[in-house]
Amino acid sequence: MNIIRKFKHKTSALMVAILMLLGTKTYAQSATGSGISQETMLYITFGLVFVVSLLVLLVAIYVLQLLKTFIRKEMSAEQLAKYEAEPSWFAKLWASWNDLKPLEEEEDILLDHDYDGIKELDNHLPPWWKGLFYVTIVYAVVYLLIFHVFETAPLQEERYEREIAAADALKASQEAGLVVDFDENTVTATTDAVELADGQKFFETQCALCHKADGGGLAGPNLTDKYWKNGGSMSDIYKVIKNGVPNTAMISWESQLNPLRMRNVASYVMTLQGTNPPGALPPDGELYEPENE
Amino acid sequence: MQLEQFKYDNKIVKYFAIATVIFGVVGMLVGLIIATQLFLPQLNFGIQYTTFGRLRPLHTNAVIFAFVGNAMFAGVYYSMQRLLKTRMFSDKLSWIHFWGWQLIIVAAAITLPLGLTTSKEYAELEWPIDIAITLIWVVFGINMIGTILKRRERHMYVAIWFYIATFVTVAVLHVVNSFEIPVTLFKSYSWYAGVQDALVQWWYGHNAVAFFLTTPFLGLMYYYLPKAANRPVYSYKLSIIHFWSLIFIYIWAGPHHLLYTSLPDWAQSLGTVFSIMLIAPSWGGMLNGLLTLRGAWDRVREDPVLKFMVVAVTAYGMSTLEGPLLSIKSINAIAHFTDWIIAHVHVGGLGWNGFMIFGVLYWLVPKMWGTKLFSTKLANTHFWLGTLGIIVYALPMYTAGVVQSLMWKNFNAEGFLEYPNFLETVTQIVPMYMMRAIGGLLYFSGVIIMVVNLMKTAKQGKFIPDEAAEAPALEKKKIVGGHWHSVLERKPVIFTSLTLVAILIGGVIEMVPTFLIKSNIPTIASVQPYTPLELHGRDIYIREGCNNCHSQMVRPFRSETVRYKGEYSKAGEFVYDHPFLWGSKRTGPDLHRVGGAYNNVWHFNHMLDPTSTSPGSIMPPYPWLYRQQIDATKTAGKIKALRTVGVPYEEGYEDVANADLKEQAMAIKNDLKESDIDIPETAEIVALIAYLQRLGTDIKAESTANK
Repeated sequence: MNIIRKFKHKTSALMVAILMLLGTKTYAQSATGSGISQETMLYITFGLVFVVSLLVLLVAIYVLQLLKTFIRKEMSAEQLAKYEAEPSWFAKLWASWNDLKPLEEEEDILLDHDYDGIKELDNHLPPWWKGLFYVTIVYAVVYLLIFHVFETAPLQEERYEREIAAADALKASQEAGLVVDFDENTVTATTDAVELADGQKFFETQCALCHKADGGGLAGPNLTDKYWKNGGSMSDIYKVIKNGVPNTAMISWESQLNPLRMRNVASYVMTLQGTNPPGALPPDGELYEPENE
Repeated sequence: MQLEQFKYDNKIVKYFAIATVIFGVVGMLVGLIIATQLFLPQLNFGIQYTTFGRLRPLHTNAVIFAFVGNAMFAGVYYSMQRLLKTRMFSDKLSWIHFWGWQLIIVAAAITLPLGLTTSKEYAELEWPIDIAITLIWVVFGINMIGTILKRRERHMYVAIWFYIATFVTVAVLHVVNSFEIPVTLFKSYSWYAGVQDALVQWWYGHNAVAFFLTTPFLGLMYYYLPKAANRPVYSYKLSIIHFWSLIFIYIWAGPHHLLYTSLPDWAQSLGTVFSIMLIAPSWGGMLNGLLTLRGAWDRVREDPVLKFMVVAVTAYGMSTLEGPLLSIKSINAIAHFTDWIIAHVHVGGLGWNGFMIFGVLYWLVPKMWGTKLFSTKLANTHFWLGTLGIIVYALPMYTAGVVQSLMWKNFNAEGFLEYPNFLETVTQIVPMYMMRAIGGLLYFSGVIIMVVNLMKTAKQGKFIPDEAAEAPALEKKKIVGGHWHSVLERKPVIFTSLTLVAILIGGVIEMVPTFLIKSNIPTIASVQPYTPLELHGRDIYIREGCNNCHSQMVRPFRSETVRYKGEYSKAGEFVYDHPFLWGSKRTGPDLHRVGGAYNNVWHFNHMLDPTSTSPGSIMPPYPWLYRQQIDATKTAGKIKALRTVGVPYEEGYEDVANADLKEQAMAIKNDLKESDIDIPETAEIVALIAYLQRLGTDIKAESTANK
């Protein structure tokens, strides 16, 4: 029973993997870049994955053959004779690709070596194996030429810069057309339920890592009491989110969040005041009393 | 021609075989324990000597050097005497080799749990043991070359070529990678720093796989497989081509362990392309093994020895295809630092090495005790348990690797990490860690069955300590002509020299420029040597084996610079890292940018009980760091040693360093006190916090300059 449950877990994990693969795909396609585009790289990657799957399939077929060999042990002599009369297509292919000499002619290529009874045959190198070796050598030469002589494909540093540029471009396009009618000094808390929910969602996935999902504080301070290290007004909180706090783990979110979302998050933080969650950190910083409501 | 009478030494083989079995059981048992600790961290029972960080090196060392190593020696000593028609060169050397090697293993089993480690993977043993290894290895080499020189067989068989390559290359690898400056009797710092240390280490690590786990076992395959199958080796030509191409190409491929790191691009690319070119040479060995079985497949069905060998050779083929594919950068970007790699090495270790050893033992024991195998049925049970064990081990690990990697990399539509909390990606794969332990248990129970079977076999027979043999002496005469390679086969000294040349080329071409050309590691002005307290902290980090689960290498991917909140790691940041601590697996998150990311209190609480700050964490608590004190008398020695290897501490700094140490420790102590935490400034945790808070912060004082 236990094993079945684990299997179920595994299949679900696999599903997650496949879904996520799709996720990254759609994302990567939207990225742009000069030279070899991300899209082309993606196709190359998929090509590689395809080749790998093909090879895995071959190995699987091989293992099946192996299993069959073991199972044949159980067959009766009659069954076996019938089975072995006609060589399988796989056996034929195997023989031709390897340039195998029929076993009966083996005497002709037996070398005069004898090491503690071990003899050696003088068979040819398997042709497909030789071909594989040549292909990998060509691959190596082409690879080095592309990346280090003609420099037509980007190395890791440039690829990273492109990845960041693509992400920035995406963000810019998402933010085009936003109407922002406030700055960090004039910002006021929103009371709109949808906007607060948006702030809450962000808080619980990102801020909660340090401030705990209920705001009680972990690595970062408690946000639910009246004591603040950098001021407790809407404008103060907004500034901390926007600019970060130097020499602490609080980073600046400005490059990642647009002003409306920063306001939503700050507004949500304001709603945590006085919630008194269990296990909250002790007060830290200075008492802040709102001047006027 | 007059026949000479002589005797083969079976006793030394017996001893090595027994050691193989004992250490196989021990090494796998430790493996099983640490596999379980990954979902049951309490399994160290709160003892510092049994944490994952200290036991993992014990597992790898025991399995590689004790289990596989002793098996190699057993197999080599048995086959070499017979292939060369002579007793070993010197019985005395044989026994020095045997007992010396076992002493080294015992020393490893004591020092590693004590936390005496260099942190360099598969080279963790400290400098006195390194010297012992060198001496014993040379004893083995003298014994082997001596045996070759007094042979009664004109030509050396392919198995002997592989044994020679093993001896020569492991000697070079071990000596070069073990260059270190002693601080105390059981503490040293690597001679190399940062990127250079990483390159040397993975040149070593990769080729330890090549020349300790692969070439000797190909040699064993070439003796025991045709022997057991009673068939001629398929192709002499293939043996020649795949031997030379394998040893020449293998040595270049080390940098594939460092793809997307701060290693210079050109070195990474060499690692990639030489790995790809390695497919055919590796498969040459597999093909020669499998095709040797042509016409003997009916025997494979009957004979457990052949069954084990067939699966071993197949596993070899699978992992030597997978390895090169993992060296392709786009695949490596997904697989590196994940459990995919763990799956990969275990297909090789459990499949190729393990099954080959089992096959050899099932063949060897009845032969040396002059009897038949006690029970073929038990051997078959072992075979199926082992095969099933490998599958149940590998599949969940592959799944875990891919799932976790994709979770690390996944951004949502708004451009945020879908799983910003690293821990989420860990808890997701914990069920797969459980499956893996079950796989390991299956494999292990198969081994126990083997132990019983072999003991019963020995009991029903009578051991033959000296096996009589006869052969004509080798005539002193000049032979001209013949195949060009057969000329080499009768000239062992030239053969050995050519082997040495073949394996030196790749290493020299990759290492010399990395050491000599400055542009390969652009210096960063703001990067400074560690303070005395941080040095103590770093040594605690090494002692506890933190690098077994945490990397210190943020790769140039958006998913990593966003997750770890900082720039990707630069080569110039590691110039004072003796040794480098990049790690090879992320069971926990990367730590290179952890400095300043959390406050001191967080670290204090986290190390005391990781689940208090990270619910669900599988990291064990480290309460002893709060009881134990750092030894400030060692500060001066540390600083002097580091200055010797090039860290620019001012002359005389070692005399005043402890004042700086105290000042920094007091600052942390006082900071903790503000949160009502009282801890002596000499506690180990204070030093560790100092080190962690320093990590990756130098570069934030941004003033990059290419000097």
